[in-house]
Amino acid sequence: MRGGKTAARLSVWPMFLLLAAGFGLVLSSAPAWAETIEIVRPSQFPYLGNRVAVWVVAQLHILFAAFILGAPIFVVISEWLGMRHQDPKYDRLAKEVTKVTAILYSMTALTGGFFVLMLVALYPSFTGWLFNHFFPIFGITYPLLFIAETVVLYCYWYTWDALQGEKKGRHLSIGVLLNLIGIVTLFVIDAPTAFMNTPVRAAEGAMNLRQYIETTATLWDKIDNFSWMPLNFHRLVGNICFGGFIAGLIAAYMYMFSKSDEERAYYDWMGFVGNFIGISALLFLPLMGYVYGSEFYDYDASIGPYMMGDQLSMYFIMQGGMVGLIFLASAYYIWLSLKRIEVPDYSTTVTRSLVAGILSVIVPGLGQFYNGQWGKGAIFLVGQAGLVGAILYAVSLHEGEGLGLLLLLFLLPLAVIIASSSDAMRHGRADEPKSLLTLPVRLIAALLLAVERFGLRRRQLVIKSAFVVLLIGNAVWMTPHAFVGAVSELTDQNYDLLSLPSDWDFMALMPAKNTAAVLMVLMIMMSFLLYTRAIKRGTIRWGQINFSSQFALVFLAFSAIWTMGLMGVVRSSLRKYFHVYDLLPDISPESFTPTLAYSGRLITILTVIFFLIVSLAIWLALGMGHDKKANGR
Amino acid sequence: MSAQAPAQKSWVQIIRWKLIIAAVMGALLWFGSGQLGFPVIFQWMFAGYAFLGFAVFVLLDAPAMKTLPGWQAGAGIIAFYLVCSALYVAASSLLPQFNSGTEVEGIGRKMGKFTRSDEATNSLVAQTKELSAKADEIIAKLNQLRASGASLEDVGSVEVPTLPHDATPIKNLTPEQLLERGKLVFKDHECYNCHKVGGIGGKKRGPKLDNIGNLATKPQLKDKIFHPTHWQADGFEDRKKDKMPDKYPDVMTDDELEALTSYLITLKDASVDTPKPIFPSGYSIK
Repeated sequence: MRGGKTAARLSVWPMFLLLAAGFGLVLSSAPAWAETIEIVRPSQFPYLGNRVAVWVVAQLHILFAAFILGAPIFVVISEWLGMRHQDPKYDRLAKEVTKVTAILYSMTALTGGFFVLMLVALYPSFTGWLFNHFFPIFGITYPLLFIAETVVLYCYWYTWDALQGEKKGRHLSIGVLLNLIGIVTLFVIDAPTAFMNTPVRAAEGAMNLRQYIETTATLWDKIDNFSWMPLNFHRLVGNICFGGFIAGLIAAYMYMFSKSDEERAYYDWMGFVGNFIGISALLFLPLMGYVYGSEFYDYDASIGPYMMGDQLSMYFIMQGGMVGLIFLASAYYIWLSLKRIEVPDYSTTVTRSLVAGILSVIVPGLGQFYNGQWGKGAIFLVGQAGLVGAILYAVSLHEGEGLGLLLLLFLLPLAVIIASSSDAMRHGRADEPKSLLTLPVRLIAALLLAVERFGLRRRQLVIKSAFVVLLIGNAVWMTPHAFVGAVSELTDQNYDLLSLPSDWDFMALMPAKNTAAVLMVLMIMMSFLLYTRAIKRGTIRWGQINFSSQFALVFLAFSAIWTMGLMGVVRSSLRKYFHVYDLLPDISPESFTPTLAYSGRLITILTVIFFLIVSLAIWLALGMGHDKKANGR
Repeated sequence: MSAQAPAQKSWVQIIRWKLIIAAVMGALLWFGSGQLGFPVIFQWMFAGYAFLGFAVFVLLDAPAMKTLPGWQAGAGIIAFYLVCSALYVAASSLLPQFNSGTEVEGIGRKMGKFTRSDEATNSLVAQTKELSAKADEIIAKLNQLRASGASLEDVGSVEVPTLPHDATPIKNLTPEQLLERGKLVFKDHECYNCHKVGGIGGKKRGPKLDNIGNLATKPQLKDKIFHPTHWQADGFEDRKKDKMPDKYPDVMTDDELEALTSYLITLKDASVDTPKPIFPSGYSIK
């Protein structure tokens, strides 16, 4: 541990000096620079081109930033759990992740500085314009927050050993403060990012967008734009998910290289906790993404088709595939985790969970089916009835895990109800078949029936049935309206060869996708429920998990971060050929939408680079002293 | 799942029944979806899922992996990253790709709104292109321009002087050329994403336009495009989502609007059920 502290101390002081110098430079020169900026020709980045150069640096910066903002959230929770249960494992987990965070913090600062330099050099006009419009953020608030976060992070790290025992509460307070600053920093820097996508408009007819932004809109108007708050929450939850999967990655590395049973047992446990946090946060992301995407539709309905049906449609098919793989890998990890638990029967809870889950989904689903006949009021009542019925059923569990299920049951029907209350549904298009919206739900009902009828109280069958539903859900999610890169490429000649038959068009619509997402989330929740149930009733043989589970953890981290890169491209591409949507055009030769193949290659390269650096950080923070520590015991 | 693990099955035992079930399921999905009218590419997709299920279930029942010592674990991780990378690169490359080339052409045409159209600026742009080799001089001129209060649009246009941009004023176009320009505007501004014409286009977000030429006049259409709330199409009145964007005054030139509406009023296919316009009482074009 001493060695680790020294390494961290070595990295912090130069960074403080660098930050202080940079901050002083910004404060002293920025206002003058803002007034006397010269119009200069943008530099051309050799070989890669300007867009790719900025893309590389920006994505690396966001990946590091996501970890250093997300990890402290569950670090503090873990530390609190350790204090509450007097379990040193939680404290050790928190400390080890913080140690890696401290190293990666430097990378965040470095890539952030590099990002700004690239913007200034490669897109000077746009950068100058944006910095001027958000000067109080870029010039004052953000640097101050960054410095505050640096100070608090290192206080948190260096006081870990000193503030133990009765002083633990003080240390936790520092951690909470760190998170508060981190969240505010995220929200602040999200403002210009969101503004670039959805700049605030004046009321219709009052004045055009440019005139409004340049003459009338206040800083707050620009900050509080359509997509700002949804982006904040989407990124916040995404960061926690990210942090969880990286913690799982750390655990997998350390497990693989552990030399003692004790170490293996600890890192086996840590891997489970990381996966649990990552997947728990991931379950909320489809809903967050739905709200975020919905804001784009509200802002400008033409963005929606560009995103889901036209140029970016295949990105979402790829996303569907990735999410499906992540869910499958997570369920596989739980499957392997269960195999190393000695446990009695727990099929009653499984049945109840399934029934409650189906109630929560099928009843609002039926409401949608009869929507045309019943109207808006009826569907709302039916949806509520389904929700109440499911909650009552969940309450009947009288078990601790019922609480988690309650939360699930509250959120999932909500998503279905939101979908059902969309304009499309409210208008009740008679020519749109809605009955098959409930197809996956009916399939799972049939599955349950089979389980009940044959009296198969076998846990393996229940888990395997969850895999079947995951596959069906993923197939529905992945089904596109047509196998073309964009709707505009459909012609009379290729339409019948590449498109869904008109009777089955609903499979590509949002209600079907929502149902699929709900089902997949439900199955993962059910698997976790089984696991927590098994832990309570059984005996866990920590450290004896199948070795392939560690590859599942690595896969989860790699895939989640790859998906994050993919969605980053989507968010950025939604500006189309603008730096600021509809306002400041990007008329550089690279302002077209990149193909999925091109983005896929670049995202893969960046993910690999990120993993190389993170792997090095893990080795520096935990691996170097590991053997000595193990031998010391 | 209990501590008393059953005897480990051989690979043949693990695979045998799963392969048979996957083959049967795959065949059912293939022929069933074919019977229901799904194109072949969807049949492949559904059948592929049967075999993905096969792989998943084989993995579930596979024998426990041996613990890899030190360097073998490291090599295993590196190999695993390579496999994941190859998988994702392959998947993203195999899915259909959008043709960026067509979009680039459209972007060039759409730049009209962001380039000053008066003769003085056109002259300046021409002059700028001519002097592009003399960068310092251009920078000096642009700084002068900025000092005189010109907007950033002028600055931006210097970055890419080579984008295709058909700036021929529409007054110089023949009726046929005007019609073609109108179709291009329809495509460039992605109107097809919400409005079907000739059975091709969006998914009912907006009305089909095949018969709009019989239902609305050119001034009414211009008013609708620039002021979407001034009148509505039947069945699309009370939308809270999927509303027609009100951004077009910001991104579409008057020439583009003229060309687009010139095209739209030629759409007179009465066999298509284009919703009728509903004009509010006292409606007049301001």
